[in-house]
Amino acid sequence: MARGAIAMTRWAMTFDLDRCIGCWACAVACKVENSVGEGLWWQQVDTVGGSRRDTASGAFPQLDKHYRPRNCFHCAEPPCLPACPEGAISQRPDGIVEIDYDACTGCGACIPACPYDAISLNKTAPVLPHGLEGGHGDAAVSPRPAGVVEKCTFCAHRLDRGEEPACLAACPTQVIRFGDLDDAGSTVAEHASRPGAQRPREESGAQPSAWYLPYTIGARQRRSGGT
Amino acid sequence: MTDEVVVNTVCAHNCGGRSPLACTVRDGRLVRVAPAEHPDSRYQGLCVRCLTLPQWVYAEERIAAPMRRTGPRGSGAFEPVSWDQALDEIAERFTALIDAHGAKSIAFSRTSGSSQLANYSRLAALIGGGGTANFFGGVDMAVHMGLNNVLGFKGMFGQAANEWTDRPNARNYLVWGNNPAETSMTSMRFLLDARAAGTEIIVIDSRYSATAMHATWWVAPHPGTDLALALGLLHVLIDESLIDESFTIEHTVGPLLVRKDNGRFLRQSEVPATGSGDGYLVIDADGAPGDSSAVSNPRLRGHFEVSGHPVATAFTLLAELVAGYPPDRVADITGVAGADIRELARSYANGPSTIGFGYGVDRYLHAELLTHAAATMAVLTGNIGKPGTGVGVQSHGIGSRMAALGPTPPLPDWAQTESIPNIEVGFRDLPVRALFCQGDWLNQRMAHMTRARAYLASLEFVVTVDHFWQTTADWSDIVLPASTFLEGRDRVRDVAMAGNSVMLRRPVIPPVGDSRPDSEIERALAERLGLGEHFEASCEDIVRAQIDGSTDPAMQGITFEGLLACGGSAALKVPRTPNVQYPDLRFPTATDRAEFYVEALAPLGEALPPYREDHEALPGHPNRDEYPLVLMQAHARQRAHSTFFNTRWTLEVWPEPVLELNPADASARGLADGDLAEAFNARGNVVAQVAVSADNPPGVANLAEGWKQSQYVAGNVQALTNGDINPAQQHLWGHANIPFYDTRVEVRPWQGGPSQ
Repeated sequence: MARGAIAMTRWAMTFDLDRCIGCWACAVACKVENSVGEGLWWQQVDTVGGSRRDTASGAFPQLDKHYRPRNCFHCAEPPCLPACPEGAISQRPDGIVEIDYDACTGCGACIPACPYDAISLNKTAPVLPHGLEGGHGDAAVSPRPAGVVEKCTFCAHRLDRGEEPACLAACPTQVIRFGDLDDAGSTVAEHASRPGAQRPREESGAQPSAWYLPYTIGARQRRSGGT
Repeated sequence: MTDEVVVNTVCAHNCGGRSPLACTVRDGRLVRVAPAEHPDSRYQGLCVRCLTLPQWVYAEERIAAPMRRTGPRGSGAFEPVSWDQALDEIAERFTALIDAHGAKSIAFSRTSGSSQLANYSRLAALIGGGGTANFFGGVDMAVHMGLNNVLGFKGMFGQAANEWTDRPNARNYLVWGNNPAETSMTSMRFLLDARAAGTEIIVIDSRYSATAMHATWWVAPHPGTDLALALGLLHVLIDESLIDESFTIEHTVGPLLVRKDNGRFLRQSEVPATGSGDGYLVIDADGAPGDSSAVSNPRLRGHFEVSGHPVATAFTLLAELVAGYPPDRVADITGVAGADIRELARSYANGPSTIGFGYGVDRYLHAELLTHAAATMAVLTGNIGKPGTGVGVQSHGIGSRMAALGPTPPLPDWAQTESIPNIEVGFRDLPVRALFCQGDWLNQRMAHMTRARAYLASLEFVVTVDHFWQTTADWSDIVLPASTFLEGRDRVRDVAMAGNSVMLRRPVIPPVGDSRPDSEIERALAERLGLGEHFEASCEDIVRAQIDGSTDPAMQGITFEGLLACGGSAALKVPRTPNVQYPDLRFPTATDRAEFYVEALAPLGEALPPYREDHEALPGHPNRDEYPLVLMQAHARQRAHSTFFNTRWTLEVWPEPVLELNPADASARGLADGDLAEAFNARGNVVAQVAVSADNPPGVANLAEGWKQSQYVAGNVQALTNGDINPAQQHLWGHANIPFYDTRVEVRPWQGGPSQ
């Protein structure tokens, strides 16, 4: 990985799934902040349960459902990076994986390489809402021309100003934590080291900078009724 | 060079969360809404709906200009007219109607997402010398009625549970018919924090909501049977001697004597030997009657004869009622196992225990009897007045400390409106000939849309004022474009009080398009009607007087200019300890006690809450064979009622109305996920995509309320809903709540095509 020898920031994100209510505030805040166009999401909230969003698996009342936000996890070994034939993907010393929109040709080779389906191709110029066609959200976010891939930046423009990512600020139930993994006193380091904390699809070998604290309530939940 | 400012304001919408908003305005456009710093940091935050506000204010559905109808009602044919033309026409039509038929010929209806300074209430009270009709209510009222009965009237939306920050103090927390994870998302953290602190989170909900998913114990009674569950819990509390007898004797009507002949409390004046006052009588330890305020240790149980009057204690009458609801019988009614009912009652008695209601249980015909029974549970076990206890509504973020504001400009004595309950509109012979409608009355405030629409069509003149073109607009003669709460020319629109804080609601952008703020529309109409003298104060003048004129100690040091200078909000001068309701255990009732026996309802047989099976959701209803599915209309994350029906960001996630069906119900009708299906009953129909969802029990369908006519394939969920009137509610409060969930339907594949 591209870290130097001296101690420096290693950004990471944790998600406490026992607190996630599937409201999509994180994802919408991201979309607003970064002027992400219609049909594209840099962050999504998956339903883990039935085949349709917001539905459980199982039979009433023995149901199983929870929610799981998903975005670019800025892997320590990002599979997207070597997959790009143009060298348009790079990694900052703090671990943030960046796309150079000038170099990207929109070939899409990085998209299947991502274990988290976190990269999308912007086939047209971003379609922005009525009245906000000139852009919305933060003025410091780079606009994307048509025909490039785009994804979560960990809100690098906000980090560079000393602010936290927009998703985290918008979460009404404090699911998301963000900080420096190398700062032993950080909440994110504490959450990542908790028993049960799991990196998403650990087997991918990508070493994502993200940990899920698993949803545990359903398995422990007592249920009455429905008979 | 861009010009960018961040202006703080506070959300106005009807989840009630009152989130402080930091609004980024770039080159005059609202481009981002983020959480602003909350004066009480425990309430910091906003929800997904607030985040969509930039898209909402500029949405294509904004009404571009005042419009006048040119085709038949409902045809959608309109032409743009100038503001002067529209306002002149309204004033002329109103004046002609008032001259010919009096002020009673005009009715007003207002929307819940508005506020006192922007809801035309002042104009309504003044027009025609007073006496216009106010179409009101019908939604979110019944749960308050039952709580008011027992605990004392504190206003229509007054019966709050303890403050949300109190939840970790509870050992057991019953979340009853409430789904903050999908309705009041900014309140959900407190539930999660309580769970982390070890509180047992008991969610009572027929569906597996996103709140039920976070319960430690999910209890799922059949829809509309919650009252039977409560009576079963009361049965166990009394049967197993789990009540707090000394609390019941001291603080409730339990020991008071009730006359068996007329159901009224026995008073001193009816038993001369006990004195000449109007006190309430009890039986003392020696078996003699006496004034309840003088007898120290009255009997809680027993039947007696006093001066020829056969009487029993209120507690004994209650015990006899709930004796008929043993857990095994309640299990048959509710589907909740008898052993679980026993255990739930034991847990509840092992307090401190909190009951927090939402409005899910409000939408059945006898909802006030459920909260009556639940409040009875609280007062019999002493689960009230202390941290971790209480029984009340916890929707809308209510329960924190408030301060009284200074007065708004007074109205003349003659200014008034006559309240007409929405649920009676279309039933009663009303003198109303014109309706001035703020918001979408037809889609949101009325059940049985076919009937409501026929009523609207029968009126001579209908005005709608709204931000967006919605369902009622199509049936109107004049449609006016109102600015949203984020738009205006004044420094201040109004003031909000929530989360132990006072917050100015400030416009952050100029009016969009040709819209005008409601306050300006109201003033312009008033001037045309010769009432301009009553509207001389600007919104800023009024809010300044409310802030600077407040004598509440909690407002000490808070001034209007000071608020403006510090970001628009300030913490009230109140303790940080969670606000506890009824801390002195004084109940503002006639008896000064918690009145689980409601004397005024004795003539209707509801002095105690009997289980009623006469409503549509219950299996004994005659509609059951023809319409076997109960249709709920749970509220959805993407909207507050119907507000935000059109924000594309959330429509990308939840794009259209879906009819949720249990897999067994879907397959029995040959329906698969994604098929179009028609839900129908004798009142009407709706056509929507099927979502096969085991989160709904067999026999229960769900279609979220708040979608608009234009978003359905055909029909409307409100064409199905039930407008039955509960006479007991009319008797005690003068109006009734709408039982939206007392709606049965059958579902079949839709043979027509998709909507255009």
